[in-house]
Amino acid sequence: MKRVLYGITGLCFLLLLLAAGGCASPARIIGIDSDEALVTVSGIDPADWQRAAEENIRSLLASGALRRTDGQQPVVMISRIRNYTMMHLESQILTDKIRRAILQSGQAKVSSAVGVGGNIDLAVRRIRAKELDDLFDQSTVQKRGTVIAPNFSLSGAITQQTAYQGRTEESYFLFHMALTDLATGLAVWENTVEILKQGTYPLFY
Amino acid sequence: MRRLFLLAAGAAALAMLAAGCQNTVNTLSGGPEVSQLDLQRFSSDSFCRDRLAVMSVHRSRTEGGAMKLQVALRSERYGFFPEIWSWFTGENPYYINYRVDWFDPDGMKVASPSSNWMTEIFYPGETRYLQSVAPNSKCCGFMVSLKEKND
Repeated sequence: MKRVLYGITGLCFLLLLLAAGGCASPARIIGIDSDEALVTVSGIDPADWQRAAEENIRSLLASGALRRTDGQQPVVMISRIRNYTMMHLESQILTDKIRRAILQSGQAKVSSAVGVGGNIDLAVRRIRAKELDDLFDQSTVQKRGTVIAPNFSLSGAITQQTAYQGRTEESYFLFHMALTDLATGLAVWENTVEILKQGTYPLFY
Repeated sequence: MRRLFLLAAGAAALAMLAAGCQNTVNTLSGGPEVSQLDLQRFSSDSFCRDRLAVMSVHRSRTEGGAMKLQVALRSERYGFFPEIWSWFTGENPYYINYRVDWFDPDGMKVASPSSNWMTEIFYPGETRYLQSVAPNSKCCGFMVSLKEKND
């Protein structure tokens, strides 16, 4: 009798293992804008970054704020995107898309000489430090006083507000961006993209 | 004789069923302001085709010279029974994904943030305005794609 019980227990355990293994899904690539992408309530998902970038770019390019009265193409520096959420964020996901869109539009140029984080290329400064290095042909070393200073600065802030009611969680995200005329210090364009997400947690996890 | 009649009726029913399942031309219905030429710039799955109508297509230019597009879409699922049905099937509100692809004068697609699927929410009978700006001033063609959002 004991042997039968052991056998049944062993069989159940084996079936449980098989069922658990069957629930796993193999790793695969899904599209960046796929419906299968995870949607979280308290986090910023790829679709949220896409929406924030697309709507801000559309607003900026349609505004005409980058247009200069002297007909010259302005230079934009990407400044700080402040993070007022409760999590660590890589704001470069947003600024990278905006940089590319500004360049692609032909309405302005983007500076890599000044800025924050990944938007700055340190080589612009480092190469000028080689002016006393005899390893280099000095006629090929970039001279000082040739870097073009930006006319505009693009900055922003990401803000989150979370509310709970019972098992329901709601997160409200604001992606605010502003373009500042560096000559006057006045904001010439501003836009905010709002995203509201809600989810109810199950009673048992 | 009776068997022959049943056979003919069965064949007719099968043919009707097959015709009903067939995908017809994959275009949305348009409002009075929308031309057939504009409707050809829309592609949609069969779900959105039956639930949305293109009410207007407006183009303008930004100060930078890029083409700006505004499309008005209206949810056609309104009225007592359609709304009851939408509620029953979990389609009230109705979630769609859309994207706008932009093309240069040679017909080549130009990469743009608007080429990613974006979500829009429609309540019964509601009109929503989708906007997009061409990535540069050379772009002159566009294609709007719509599909039902899967949960």
